[in-house]
Amino acid sequence: MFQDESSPLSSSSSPLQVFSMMSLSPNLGSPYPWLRELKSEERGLYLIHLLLTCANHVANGSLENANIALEQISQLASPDGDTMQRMAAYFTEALADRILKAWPGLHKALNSTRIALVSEEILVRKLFFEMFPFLKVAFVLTNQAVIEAMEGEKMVHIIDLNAAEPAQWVALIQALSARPEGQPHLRITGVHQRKEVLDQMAHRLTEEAEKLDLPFQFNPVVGKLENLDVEKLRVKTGEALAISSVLQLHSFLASDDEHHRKKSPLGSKNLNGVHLQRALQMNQSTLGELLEKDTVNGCSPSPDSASSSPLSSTGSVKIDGFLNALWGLSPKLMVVTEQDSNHNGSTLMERLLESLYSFAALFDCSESTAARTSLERFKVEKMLFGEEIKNIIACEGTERKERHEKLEKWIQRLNLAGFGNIPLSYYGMLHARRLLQGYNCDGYKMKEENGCVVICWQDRPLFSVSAWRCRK
Amino acid sequence: MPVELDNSSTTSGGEASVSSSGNQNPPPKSTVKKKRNLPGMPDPDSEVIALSPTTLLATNRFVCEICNKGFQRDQNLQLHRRGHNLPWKLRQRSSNEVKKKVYVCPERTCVHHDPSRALGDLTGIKKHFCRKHGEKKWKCDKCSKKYAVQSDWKAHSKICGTREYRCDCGTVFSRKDSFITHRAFCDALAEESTKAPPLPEPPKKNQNQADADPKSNSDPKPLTAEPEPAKAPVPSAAASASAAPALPQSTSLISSSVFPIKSSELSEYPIPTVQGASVPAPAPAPAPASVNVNCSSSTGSISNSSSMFASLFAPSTKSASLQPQAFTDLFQSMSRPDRPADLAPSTSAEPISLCLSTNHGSSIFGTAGQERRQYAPPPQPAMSATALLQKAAQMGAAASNTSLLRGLGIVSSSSSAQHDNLRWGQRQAEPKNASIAAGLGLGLPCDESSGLKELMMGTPVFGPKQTTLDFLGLGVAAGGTPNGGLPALITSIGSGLDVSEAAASFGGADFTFKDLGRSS
Repeated sequence: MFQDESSPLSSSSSPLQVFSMMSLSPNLGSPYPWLRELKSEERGLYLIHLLLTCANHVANGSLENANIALEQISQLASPDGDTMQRMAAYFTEALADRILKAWPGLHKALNSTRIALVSEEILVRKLFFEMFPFLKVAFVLTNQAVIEAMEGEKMVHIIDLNAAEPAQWVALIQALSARPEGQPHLRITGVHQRKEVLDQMAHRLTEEAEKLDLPFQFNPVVGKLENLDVEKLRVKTGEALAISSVLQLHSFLASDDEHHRKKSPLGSKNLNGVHLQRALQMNQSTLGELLEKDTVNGCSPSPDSASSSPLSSTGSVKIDGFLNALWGLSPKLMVVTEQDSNHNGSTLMERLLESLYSFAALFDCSESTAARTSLERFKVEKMLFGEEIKNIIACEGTERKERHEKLEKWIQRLNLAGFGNIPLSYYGMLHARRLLQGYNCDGYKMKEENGCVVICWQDRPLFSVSAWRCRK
Repeated sequence: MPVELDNSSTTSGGEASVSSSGNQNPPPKSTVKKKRNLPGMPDPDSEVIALSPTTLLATNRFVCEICNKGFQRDQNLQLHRRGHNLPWKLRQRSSNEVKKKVYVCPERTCVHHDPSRALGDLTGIKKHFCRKHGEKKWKCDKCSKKYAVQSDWKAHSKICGTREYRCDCGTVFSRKDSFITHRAFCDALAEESTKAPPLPEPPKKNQNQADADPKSNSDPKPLTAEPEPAKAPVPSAAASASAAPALPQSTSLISSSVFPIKSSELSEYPIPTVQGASVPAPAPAPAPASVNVNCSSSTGSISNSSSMFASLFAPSTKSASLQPQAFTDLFQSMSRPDRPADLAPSTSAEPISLCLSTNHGSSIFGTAGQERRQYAPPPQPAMSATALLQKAAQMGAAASNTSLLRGLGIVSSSSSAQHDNLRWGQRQAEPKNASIAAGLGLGLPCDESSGLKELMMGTPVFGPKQTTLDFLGLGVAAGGTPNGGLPALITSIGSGLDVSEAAASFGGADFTFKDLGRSS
């Protein structure tokens, strides 16, 4: 059926040497013998091609072709190979998941016995925190902004929208108790889905505060962030409020956007998008919405700024509501850390193309951080990156929570919600840079953009940190 | 609680008071917490009292005339006088409002000499006077620190020697924050010198290591006159073969060249060469110390606390780096016997080696340490995913500008310098087109994803034999593109293109696409 590999390989490489360059693939008896002889770069390029082809077939609904492509990719991809192989493995899993959703019964049945191990989830988040500097840099910048904003304040209240990592606040407690004007009275309210995480955080933080004799109180709020009732946060008058949001806001962009889905594959422009798409960029109806909503600051964000697509499109209701609720608390400071990539395109192909670049950077970063045999690396890649990819690629509507957007869109959104940007301080950036340098990886870069900090891997922006104040 | 002490003119000592004050008993402890002013910023309507130095320093101002026993407080003296059957009088607390008293420092040049910066506490002003303007009579026996106030001395000797932090440059700190601030700048200095052009001459290293820290115990100086960078050509070839005998060489290279890079973080590793180059070795202490003073005075606690953050968040990597200590010891012991003596110095190879070893090193040190012993370098340096995507985009973009075939021919032949020829490249018999080469050389201006889309369209032609013009033509003609534009072309290709036809023409290519071309 398939052409037998009778034609010899290029004579320069012996079969064994070539074979040793392939990743460990269990499919030794595969029907595609010629695939095994690809070298790493060729294999990578071929994988990219196959991925795009497959995604295209999926987007068009030609499932038979997609199946073929998936079959081929599975010969080459592997979660413990080189970066492209790993990426291909997770992307194809996501594409397959997407295909399977066309048969909801089948999909549900296959996922019915999956259990989410809380301990594993917590471990993976901890691993991500330890292995990569992104969260640490965000924490350093957040804390520095808090300290500066809270200069002279006696009562400080911090709301953490995802209280999972005590290290951030431990450092803040230490810094606040050492400040020259004396210790403030500190209150931290942490929101998280899991009670155990909050308990552990409470314990760790109160222990630290007691050591330093800092008046401290931790208030846990158990529950999903999207169901958060701001009353539960119990913000009191007279206290200075700071809000820290690390990678939490983008899930509020999720909405049932069926009726807004544009038919043409062009959709809204993404940054890497083809210049041809510019012509269809501005959707008239959404522009009208945009201008309508713009009552707060009186300035109208320019609609044809190079990289913005209509802001207040679908899904704006939830995020606006949430931001308004936060604004209503009159925080003195809000620090927002978000992914800085456009993974919220309305079509699959857009999202696939963008996420190929972003996750390529992340996987490269992971490759430079840990060995290929590292179990921790595998866990982070599978349970964190892989799940994000799956959500971006396979899910639609309200299920699709990983709606990352570029920093400028967040800036616009926050401006519209009544927040004004505070540039991050020089000292914060200095120490963040030093932290990055300590990571022994040349790839991490940090750059400043309009007072916000963007953390990049090589040239690819990955995360952004920005500080905001309540603008009346 | 501020203590009001009597300083009435009945006592000897020649004090001067700005205003007279009644004798007062110490006020009873009130349950309401007293409002504390910030030090040096007194209540405006409090009474200012200026005492002479003698009065301040006097310990027992109230002396019994009978037995010459001294008392600090008049009440105590009065009670004592009862014992001598002398007339005594305990003064009651004055009925009128207690006026708050503040004290000024008698030293004219002191900032607290000004009544507007008076201190509200007599004990406080006493201690201040001694500390700032007094003679340091108390000395710590463990270290050489001297104190003028006995309570300061006691407090210090309790913690002296209990905790200490040692920087690589030899300075010892008892306070964590000052240690961290120092280390941030000390490391920055060291690191800047490593990030500068790589270690200039190998012989220089040796000289500097002679006057390096004696405390460096973990790394006995292996950097002898042998130039390590010379090994770079060897490991880069050896790495690809990943032969076992090559490993010690490359690892010794790692050990030598990795340290300068990691100096900022792996403080256990003494960095004799680098430190010698950057900070003058005979004065490692003063130089960082002066830097430390400057930074702490200029940035105050802000930088202290922030560097605390940075160091707090760095401990994981720091602790991860603790483990490889043994690892590099292993390297050292392995590398020494293997050191060949016939390598010629070549500093140009150094950056490559640094690059390579960084790659290895970071993957080792980045893990939790579990894999470090099992780590084996990859058979060849793999292209990063980002680079692959860019290359794919370029290939696709090249296809959109010109005929795909020629584009591939150019691309593959240019890349053949680095890698083995891509098989399809080898098959090309196409003549090179100068204009295409120029176009490629210019750096294709297409956006990345557009390139990818074109790649998707174009790369079924992986092993092309024929020109692809007809292939492209096929796509365009058969597609009947509904709305024009590139992405539409892709969709039309996906649905309408019969790849098997194109594939069939590739007889003899290494890989066939017959399986791709299954039309359904």
